[in-house]
Amino acid sequence: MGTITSQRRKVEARWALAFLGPWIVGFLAFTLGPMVASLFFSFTRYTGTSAPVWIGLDNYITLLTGDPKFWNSMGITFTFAFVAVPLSLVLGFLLAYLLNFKIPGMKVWRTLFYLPSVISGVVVAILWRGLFDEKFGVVNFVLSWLGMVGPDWFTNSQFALVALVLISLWGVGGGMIIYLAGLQGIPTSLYEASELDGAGRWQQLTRVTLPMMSPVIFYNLIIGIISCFQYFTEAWILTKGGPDDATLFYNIYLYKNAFLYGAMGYASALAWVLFFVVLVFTALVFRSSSMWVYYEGEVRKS
Amino acid sequence: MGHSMAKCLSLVLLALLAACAPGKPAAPAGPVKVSIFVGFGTGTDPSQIEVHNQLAKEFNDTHKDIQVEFVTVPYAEARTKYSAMVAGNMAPDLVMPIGVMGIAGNYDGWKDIAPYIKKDNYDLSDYYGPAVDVHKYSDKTVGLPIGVYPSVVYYNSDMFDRAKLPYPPTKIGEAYQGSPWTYDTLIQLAQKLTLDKKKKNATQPGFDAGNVVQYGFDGWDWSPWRIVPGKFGGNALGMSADFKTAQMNTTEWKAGLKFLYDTINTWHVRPKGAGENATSIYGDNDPIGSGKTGMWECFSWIQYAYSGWSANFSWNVAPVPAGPTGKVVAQANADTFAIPVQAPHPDQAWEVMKWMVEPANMVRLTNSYGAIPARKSLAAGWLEGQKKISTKVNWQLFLDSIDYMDKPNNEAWVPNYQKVWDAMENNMTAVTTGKVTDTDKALDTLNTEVQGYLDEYWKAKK
Repeated sequence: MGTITSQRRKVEARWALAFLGPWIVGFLAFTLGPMVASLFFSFTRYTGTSAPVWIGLDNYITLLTGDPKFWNSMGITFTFAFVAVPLSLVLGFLLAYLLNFKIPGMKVWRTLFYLPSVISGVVVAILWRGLFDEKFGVVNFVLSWLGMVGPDWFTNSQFALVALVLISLWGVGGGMIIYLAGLQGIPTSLYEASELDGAGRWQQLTRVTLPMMSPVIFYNLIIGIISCFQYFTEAWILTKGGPDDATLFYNIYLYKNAFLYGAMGYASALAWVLFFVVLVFTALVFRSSSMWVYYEGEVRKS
Repeated sequence: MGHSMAKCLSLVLLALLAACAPGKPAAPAGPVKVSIFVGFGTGTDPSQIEVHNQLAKEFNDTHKDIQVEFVTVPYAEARTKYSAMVAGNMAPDLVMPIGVMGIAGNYDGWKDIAPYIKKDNYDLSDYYGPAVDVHKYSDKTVGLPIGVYPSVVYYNSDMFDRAKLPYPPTKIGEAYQGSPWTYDTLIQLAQKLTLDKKKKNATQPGFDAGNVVQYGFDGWDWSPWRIVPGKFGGNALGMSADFKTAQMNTTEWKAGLKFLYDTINTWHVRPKGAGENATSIYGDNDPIGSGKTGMWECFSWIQYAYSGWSANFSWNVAPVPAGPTGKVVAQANADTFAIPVQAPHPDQAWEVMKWMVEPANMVRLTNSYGAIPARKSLAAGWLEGQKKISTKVNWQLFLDSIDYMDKPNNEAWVPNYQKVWDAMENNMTAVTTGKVTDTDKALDTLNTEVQGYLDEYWKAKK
């Protein structure tokens, strides 16, 4: 009996390996391999086209102690993340909350709000370049109705980052659809019970909806933080880090080092620092989750 | 089970490593294939690809030992793909067309072709001397010129007619209405062409600088900032001859940046903005094409826009004015071929390079790129060809301007090239967008930043 079980397990393992094989090859060749290579390059002076020269921790020491642009780009990325992530979380949730009510043309509204999030970043950037145009853009046109003179958004170092934050909200439909799925998964019995207990709309939102939605908010928060730290496409197309480094996001600085400054080794060090920053933030959010994320059926000690 | 899994994984890993390991290239059997990388500049439009393919076919039909193949990559991806190819031991044999900036951005990556020129006793006498010099550095020559793009001042003739102003000079060194053709003269003219909403020009009392609808001069959008100090008598590279000391806050550099600032804020002849991404008044980033700019100093590669201009207004060209020292510096771009250091077949690449710049082939390439052929013997043919675009434009001036090309070139190599470039462009942007008003202080800051990049470069070289 034991032998039969053991043989069956071996056969299963072979089949599992056969099916997992393509993924394992892909993972080793395109994820783990490049990661190990970039870790090695981060300790070298490497242009990308010449042989790497081992320099130990020099790249890390330089970026932490002798490179103001590293701190500048980190600051811009943090600013962007601290503004864009909460805004997109709130806006996405509000949209989902509103679209969860039975209103006429609900499916059309949901589709319309979701649609932008499936459009490629390049197209979005080109579209918004037109909308933010100083003379002919819709944004400044609307501002003029309010008696305001809109700036030249992408060439003004005070407004370029603001414009990119606003553009990032264009994709809230992606988060909205996840919130919507979460909202529809909340048992109606909870609302009925709270109603019997005399809870109003606000209390239902804060005591039922939000706690029940907290795992979804948690998920969107993690995804939002990671995507903000990886932000690149729209900024690269619209500003290339300018004007005057006002939108020099971390990834733009990393890209410039790798492909424009011929400093692939330094760029690798930048990539690993970013990896650890994202890791720390994700870990912090995970650690905080025990205080504000509730799972259905979970029993907590008071 | 654990062992089987481990064995399988090890095999997969070994197979991968074996596949990735650089192997010795197999002994060539048959003709050598020379791959030509296109993407660092022009050459990626369908019509240009067609010309490349035709040339490749003709070359391949007439050469048994060498066959050429073009690898065309969109401009936006060229640097990343080229780096990946070189890093992956798959470097191309030739890169073309590539401008001065493309060369400088990867300066150590190009082969010196001077030994080939010497070995073949290759005749350079037919080439424009300045066009050859653009690709010559103190330690190497990187390529043979294909085409050049000198600068002229493009102007909207209709705008001059409406303002009842005589047209600018037609020859380099010629005076304008009795005054030498200098930037001061140009600015006076530009002020008369700059109009506010009430049609008052910039010299008239009550001119409203906040409501300008037509500007007199756009200099020098689409050009690197480094051209300006050169015009003002400064060292265009902004550093000492040994490239170890930054010299970007000299009197000449300060005069140049102040001039740039004054064109926007004092004389109001050009709009506030940041280089080519600014000035939405111009619509498609084409100052002259917008019909809202009187004069624009620009490289001749703007040729692609000529038909659009001609459809909407009359235009012509004037010489680049002299700077305060009386010297005319008509900044230029120039395209070349370059052989990567890692090219597997450099000797064959040189043969292909020579074939491509033979007169008949150079004409086809430059016609396709919108460049002026780098051979003097092709000038007459080029002039005839340009007459098909317009019989009214002073095409001879383009050829005359080649002799006034900037040296060193505005895009020439300096250590830590791209970082220095970014620092300079940021500096210019800060001035043109109005973020900085103290131009002298801005250059002091720039000089300190650039010195840091030079120190970094030389420290790494030790």
